[in-house]
Amino acid sequence: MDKYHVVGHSLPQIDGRERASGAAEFVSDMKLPGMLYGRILRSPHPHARIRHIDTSKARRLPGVKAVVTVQDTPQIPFGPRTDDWMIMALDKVRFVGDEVAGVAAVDEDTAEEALSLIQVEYEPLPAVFDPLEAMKPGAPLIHDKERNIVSEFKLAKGDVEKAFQESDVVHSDRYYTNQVYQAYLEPMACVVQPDLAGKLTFFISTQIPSMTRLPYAKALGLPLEKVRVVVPYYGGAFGAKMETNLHLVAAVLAQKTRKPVRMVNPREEDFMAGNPRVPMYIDLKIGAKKGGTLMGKEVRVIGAAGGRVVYSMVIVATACYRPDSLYHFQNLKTEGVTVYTNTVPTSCFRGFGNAQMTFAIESSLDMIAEAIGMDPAELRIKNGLKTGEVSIHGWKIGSSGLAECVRKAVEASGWQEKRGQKRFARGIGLACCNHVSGNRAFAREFDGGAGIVRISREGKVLVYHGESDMGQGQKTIFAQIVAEELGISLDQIEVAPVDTDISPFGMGSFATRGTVFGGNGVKAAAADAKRQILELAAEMLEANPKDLEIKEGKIFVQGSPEKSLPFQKVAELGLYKRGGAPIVGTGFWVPDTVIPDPVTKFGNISPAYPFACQICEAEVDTETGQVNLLNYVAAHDVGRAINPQTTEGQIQGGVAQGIGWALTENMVTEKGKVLNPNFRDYVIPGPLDLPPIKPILVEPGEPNGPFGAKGIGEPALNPAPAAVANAIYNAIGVRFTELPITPEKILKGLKEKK
Amino acid sequence: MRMRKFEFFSPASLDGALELLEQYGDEAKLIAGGTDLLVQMKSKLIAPKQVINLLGVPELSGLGQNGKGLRVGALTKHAALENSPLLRKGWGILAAAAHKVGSPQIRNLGTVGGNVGNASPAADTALALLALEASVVLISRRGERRIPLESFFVGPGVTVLKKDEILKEILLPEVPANSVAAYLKLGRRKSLDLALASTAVLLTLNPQTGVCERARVALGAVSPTPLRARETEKLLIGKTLDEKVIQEAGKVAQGECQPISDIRASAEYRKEMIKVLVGRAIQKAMGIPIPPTGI
Amino acid sequence: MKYPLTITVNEEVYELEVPANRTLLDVIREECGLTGTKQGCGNGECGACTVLLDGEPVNACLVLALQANGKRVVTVEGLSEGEKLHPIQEVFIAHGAIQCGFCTPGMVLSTKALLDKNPHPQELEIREALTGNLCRCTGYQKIVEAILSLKA
Repeated sequence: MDKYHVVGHSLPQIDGRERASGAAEFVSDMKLPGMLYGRILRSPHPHARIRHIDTSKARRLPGVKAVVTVQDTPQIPFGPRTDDWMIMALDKVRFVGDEVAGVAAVDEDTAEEALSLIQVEYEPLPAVFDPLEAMKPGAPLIHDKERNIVSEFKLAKGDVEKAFQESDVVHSDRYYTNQVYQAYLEPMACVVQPDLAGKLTFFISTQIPSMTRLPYAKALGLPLEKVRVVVPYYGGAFGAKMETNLHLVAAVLAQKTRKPVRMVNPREEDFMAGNPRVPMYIDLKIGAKKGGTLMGKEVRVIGAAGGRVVYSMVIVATACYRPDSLYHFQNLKTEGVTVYTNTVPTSCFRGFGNAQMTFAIESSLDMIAEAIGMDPAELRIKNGLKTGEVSIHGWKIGSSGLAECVRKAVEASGWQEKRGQKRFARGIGLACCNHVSGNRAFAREFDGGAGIVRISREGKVLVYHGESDMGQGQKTIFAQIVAEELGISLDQIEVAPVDTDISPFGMGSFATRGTVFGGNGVKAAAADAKRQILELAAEMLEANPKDLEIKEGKIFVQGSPEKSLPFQKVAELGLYKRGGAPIVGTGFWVPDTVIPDPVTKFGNISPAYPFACQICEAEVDTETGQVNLLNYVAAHDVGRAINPQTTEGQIQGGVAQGIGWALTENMVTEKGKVLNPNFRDYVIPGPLDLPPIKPILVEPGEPNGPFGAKGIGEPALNPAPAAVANAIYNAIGVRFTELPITPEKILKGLKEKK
Repeated sequence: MRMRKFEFFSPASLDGALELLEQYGDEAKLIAGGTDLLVQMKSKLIAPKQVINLLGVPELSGLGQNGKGLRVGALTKHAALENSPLLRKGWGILAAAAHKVGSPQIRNLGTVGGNVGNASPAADTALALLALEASVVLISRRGERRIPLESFFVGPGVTVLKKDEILKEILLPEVPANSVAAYLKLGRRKSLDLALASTAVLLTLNPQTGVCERARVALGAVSPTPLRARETEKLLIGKTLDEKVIQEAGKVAQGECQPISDIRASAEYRKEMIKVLVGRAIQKAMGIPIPPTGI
Repeated sequence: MKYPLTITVNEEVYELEVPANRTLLDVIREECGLTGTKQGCGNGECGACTVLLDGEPVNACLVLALQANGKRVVTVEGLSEGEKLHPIQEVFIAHGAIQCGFCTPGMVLSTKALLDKNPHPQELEIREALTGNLCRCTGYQKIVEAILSLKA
């Protein structure tokens, strides 16, 4: 597919040298003149009233420059979606880890010592940890509301009861997807720098540089223009790094001391007060005809929000209805409840509710396939949405590579023969997923992308965008898109760090939207820059701009290549001609997606929908319960891979996280306290724990994507836990509906089976 | 996460170290590789006022033959044990166990003296050393004493080492001819993990009859201390180690341990796993292929 | 109370005075100003702080700075010479073995230590050598492929 000269090629990351050499300055590496070091005093109680805070001893410790509590803030309730946050606890703490006070000192040792000198008098209150318990009347109330229910989601289409009656097979199960931690290698970190006019610059690891300014400005009682966000290199996020009080406490300290304050979560605190995945109870009932036609789905989701709402209610909503646009379920009855609990606030983690629900759906479909004697692969293809279809919720499937993903995965994995072998303790499992590339329902003001492309006198191109590169390679993708659009080579392109004073307003990197939205935004800006430079070249070449082409760094007349000028020359001469003004192209892209109807949930929320099929081969040691993964194939419909190598890396990383979730990862809590807030006992896969993961790129082309591309980030993980669970079922005939599937559970399952 | 401040000493001799220990007694801690001590100090589990660095004390280092036996200086790193050709002369399970400690980085820092002195019931090298019938030499200004490793451990993290003593070296007797051995460790993943259950077995088999003439079996992570499974050993001696005997040995080993439940594993699982591990370790020692999963 | 400390980092000698409770990681990042070596956990469980101490990879977060007195340290900054990257760094970039890059400095040094002892490792030996370096982004595969490419 050498249609394009840059797009579609596995070019190395444009900032690879900086990351490989250690030159890249990550947030936790930053050092500014006069910088102080901050720490947060966190609640040891899951639920307690604060009677009194005495900071006097801490303030007197030499080297301490400020100690702050909520009294040092405007005490304005705020939050990403609800107004149930306070920068620091006002009257109550609602989870172990809740922010109570902040300290800024001349070094980290002093800051930590100061924490131990702050005296807080707590009055412990009854606490509740499980959402099923927290929902019940009489449960301890966590916020000033009549009940702990944050929000409810209801949806019904057609007649599920009739559908189940007409079904030949109805499968019902309760699933539990546990709370897991994103485990990015760089803990949450920030440097907040004040200026003399009271403007705060937040150097933060954030996926939402522009969006985060709004709740932050509100919380600090500042006009929006006094909040600037700059995004340095940062070490991974996977959904976790959005709004966090870590940044705001640092801001309050910066205001108080008038000095920059750096705050980095010690790893233990990052576990305690990060934003782990929303744990969910999923009651799922699916009916099907023996020919394989799915007739109806009834589902109830109960998710724990934790002590305050980050994005849990949107995540529960997503779980409730996203797979309705993967398969034709025909009749639906859906209910979702998000509940406060006295546990760490839960939030986005790769998959955003769709990961949890995909585990349930793909496990149930596996059982249905068995009940009707149908190949699970065929069941998926039969019911999957195809290109051009519109789903029951009005989602317009511009391209669907689902069937091709299934076929290619089946072929590459040896699916047929391995299923046929029926070797006890060795099995193969399949799971599919859909996802979005951007989600209008999650964004509020708009969903779109924008870019600025600036061509310098030297012919170098600087690209501004408003999204966030957390390591997934977005900068390189944007650079490739711009290089392709402009007809120049990748090494001419540089992508500027996001600085909300200069960069376009970007919704941010979540909902797998970066490539489509950010990509289309910078593509539009590049097209504008191209138009301008061609106009200048046309004058210089005495030609019609419509007849000009840019290729390999030269602008020339189509058909008369001898009439040409180097790109750099046109840029230079053009700049002189225009009094020094560089060529600046701006552009934006806004698809015609809509916020769904609040009652019916109908509405096309995304411009592009990725699909995938993953197949896992596993061996179970029936004496120890351990699972050895032998092979893994992951076929992903990515529209078109802008950078195949980067896309493969995303797939392998997502699968690895899904495998960890399926087999070993679990935040163990007791009375709201995380018992394993470290990498010793929160076990993520190491280099010996993963099978070879073979990524297969399926490229049907997506009309709405830049050069036909769709997203990859979250679909990379979604199918993995079910693929593993289905492989285990195929191996030993035991169905596991709770994650993680540990060796102890496997042994217990084997015993019960006997 | 930050350690409290302390005074630091780097004695250049064993005498110097002992003198400091005597002087500072209760408040002082010895540091070698630091892989256990620093973790404890960072979590504020302990906050010693003085830390005495043993890395520069020559009398504590060295790995070499000691008559027909082996002398392992307390400062010997796991990496050195892992890679030592000397250990192949019968003490191979010590190298195998050292290889399972932590990660390459940890093995380049951590010392066997520290691993043994830390007295975790799951300590990898301790198991191999027990099976190899090691003894430890403890030294103070009052003199030297040599005790079997089995008597060194008292409870989790507790040994008979006195406040003014340093673990100087570990002595291993010669391993009888015709001995085979294996070390198996079960974790939650295949590397960089603490043992959920572990075992070291050393068997001496009659070259003509194949009968087991001598058996040493040590169990880890299933008891307050690393444990010699004496009943299991008795069962094996004088027998041909067929499938039936091996299974029986596993069951007896189960009966000898008293594991606890913690966030890593339940007591029931650990008990069940010891049965499996002992059986498989005996098979592995005898060259019978065993499943590769997670061990 | 401060103690004298002399360490050679990337062939440059540093003469410092530090309190005893500073780790080698603290000193590398702060006193020496070399922030390529990262802190991911502080407890020797992730390997982001891996440096070569007298040629051997160790977790700098678990070494008291004073214990490194008189020793030679190599950090990721010591692998490149100005603009010229080390071949290990080059293949990491070429093979897509770097995503967020936070684990990369430690990963690259562990790789160097492996190749210094074993210039032609098999895949299993590579994975064994990297067991002290966690990566959450890549699933390790492209890292392994990058290192295997150096054999050729």
